[in-house]
Amino acid sequence: MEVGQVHPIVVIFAVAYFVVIFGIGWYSRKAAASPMEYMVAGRSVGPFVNGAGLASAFLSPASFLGLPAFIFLLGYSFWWALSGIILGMPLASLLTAAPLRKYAPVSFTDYYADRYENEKLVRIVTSIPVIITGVLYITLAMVGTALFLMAILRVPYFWSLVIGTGAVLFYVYLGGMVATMWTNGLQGILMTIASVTVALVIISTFGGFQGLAEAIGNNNPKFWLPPGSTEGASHPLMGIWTGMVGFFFVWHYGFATMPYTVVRFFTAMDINAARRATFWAAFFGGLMYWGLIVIGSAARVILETMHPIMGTVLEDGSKVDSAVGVLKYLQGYYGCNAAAITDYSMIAATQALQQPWLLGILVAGGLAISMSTVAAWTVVMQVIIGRDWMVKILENKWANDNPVKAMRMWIIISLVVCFLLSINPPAMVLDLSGWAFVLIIASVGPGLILGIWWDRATTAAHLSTTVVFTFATLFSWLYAKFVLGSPHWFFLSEAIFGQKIPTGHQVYWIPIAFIFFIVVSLLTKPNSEETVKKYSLDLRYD
Amino acid sequence: MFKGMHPIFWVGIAIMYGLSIVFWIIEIASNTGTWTTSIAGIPAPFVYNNLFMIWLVPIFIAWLWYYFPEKTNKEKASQGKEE
Repeated sequence: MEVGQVHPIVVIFAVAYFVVIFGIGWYSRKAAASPMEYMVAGRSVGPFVNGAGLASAFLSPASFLGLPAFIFLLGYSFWWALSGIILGMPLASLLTAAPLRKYAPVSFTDYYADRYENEKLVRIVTSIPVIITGVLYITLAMVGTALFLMAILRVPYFWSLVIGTGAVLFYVYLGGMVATMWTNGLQGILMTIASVTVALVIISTFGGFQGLAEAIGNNNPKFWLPPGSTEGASHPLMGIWTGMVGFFFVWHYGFATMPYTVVRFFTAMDINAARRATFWAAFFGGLMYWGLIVIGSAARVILETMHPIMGTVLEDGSKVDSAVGVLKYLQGYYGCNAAAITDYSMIAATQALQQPWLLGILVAGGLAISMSTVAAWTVVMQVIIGRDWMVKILENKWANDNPVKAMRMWIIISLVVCFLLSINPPAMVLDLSGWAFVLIIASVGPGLILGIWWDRATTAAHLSTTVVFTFATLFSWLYAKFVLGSPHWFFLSEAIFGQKIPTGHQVYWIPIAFIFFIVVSLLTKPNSEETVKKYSLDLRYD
Repeated sequence: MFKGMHPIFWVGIAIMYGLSIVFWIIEIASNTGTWTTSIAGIPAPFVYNNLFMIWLVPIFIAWLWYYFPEKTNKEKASQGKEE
């Protein structure tokens, strides 16, 4: 199959996917009759659907495209980043899922407003990092949706964006959280099937795990080297153990603290269902990541030995003679600079296997994981702006009287703004999505986890931690990127150690933020005994 | 801090971080990586990392963290009825 051809079976898979998604949106339109249905799906979602949906929402195109690309670049040690993400999923079970389901809020900021005894200031401060992250992640996921449509179905990038955004707008607008839950559940299963199927074909192509491991090692002798090896490093960022361990923790606590997963625990039918949902999330997420590791590790050797573009003579007389050369060629062919060339590695490796049905499964899985993240963040944004800001903070009468209309208005505004950003996204927007994870965990994470599990957590600690670590994480990330050349070098490493020390996405701010929160809490006035009992002590027991 | 947390939480934490640290130390001490060592004919990282740590351990811990709290609640409920 030539690069420019689209096999009919690939189109059939994509059309079937959109038909099912549109069907779910249309079927769930009755949810708009009730604000509680629209915002939290009537708190009636079972653990299996919730778990599959949680996995698809939490794992974005940054997982499906970005993590295999990171393995392609950094080598074996980056496998631990993927293990860290899935190992972090169960943490939500007892830390936040069960207590928050017992509390049963509507919005992400509700708990903070009640626990920290302030209806407006706490909501404003808490929602700012959430809105920043929401815009970054919706944009990232829209770009991911468009890349799959463009690279596999050859739809021009702009029209890919229109189709992806229009589809999400259709079902989220109609069915709110109900549509999002059911589509996310289906998308979680689809993305797992896609990843595992492609991985199994790759293992079979190389004659088993042993053949695959040897092919990878022969193609890139440094791929398997651990940090600190006397033989060299798989990549400078994996030269010492702080790189490997740092990347393990970047996303590790995200599942328990990120707004787009935490709000899903509000929708569970009871506390047991909330806890059990994390089991299914780890089940589907772990299987999908098993496949992504195989694909990311094999991508270079597949591209260099099997891709039809290898050996192509270019206009300047040079030949495409490496995996990076193949990816550069493809990026030029697509005429789209919305992503780094390595982000095409997974799609290109699957194309190289030359199985149309495999590309069909991949396009369905890729669209599923991308659109599920757009929808999940959109429902967070609609409630935070349409309800929290308009009703609770600004006390807007129209929004108070017309809650579903207010949220629908913000669904449209959020998607249009992110659509416009996605048309020609600056590389910074996509890069900053990594910072966004550390931002959320370090800024609002301590206030959530310690608010529940520590009587002494105070309002001053939550407000100061949120403000201080919003700026600290952003400044250090930007400094490392522009001064040291990568956001993954510790930003003060040259000043303190005289050499660059790898720390993925400035991850060390997470433990520092928790220590800062504890110190400020001990130095400031505790919240009232009644509040601590109601929103801390009572939530710890079923 | 963490008063009222079910004791099984700390068992799961010990398993999760204990196993991760052990595997990191083994890998770093190996100097050239563990992929030349086989477990049941499969290169070791595909077994202990890309199966055990990425799938089996997370779902086992997730199971521990819903099964034991539910069991405790059932026991408390049955004790309450007997009294």
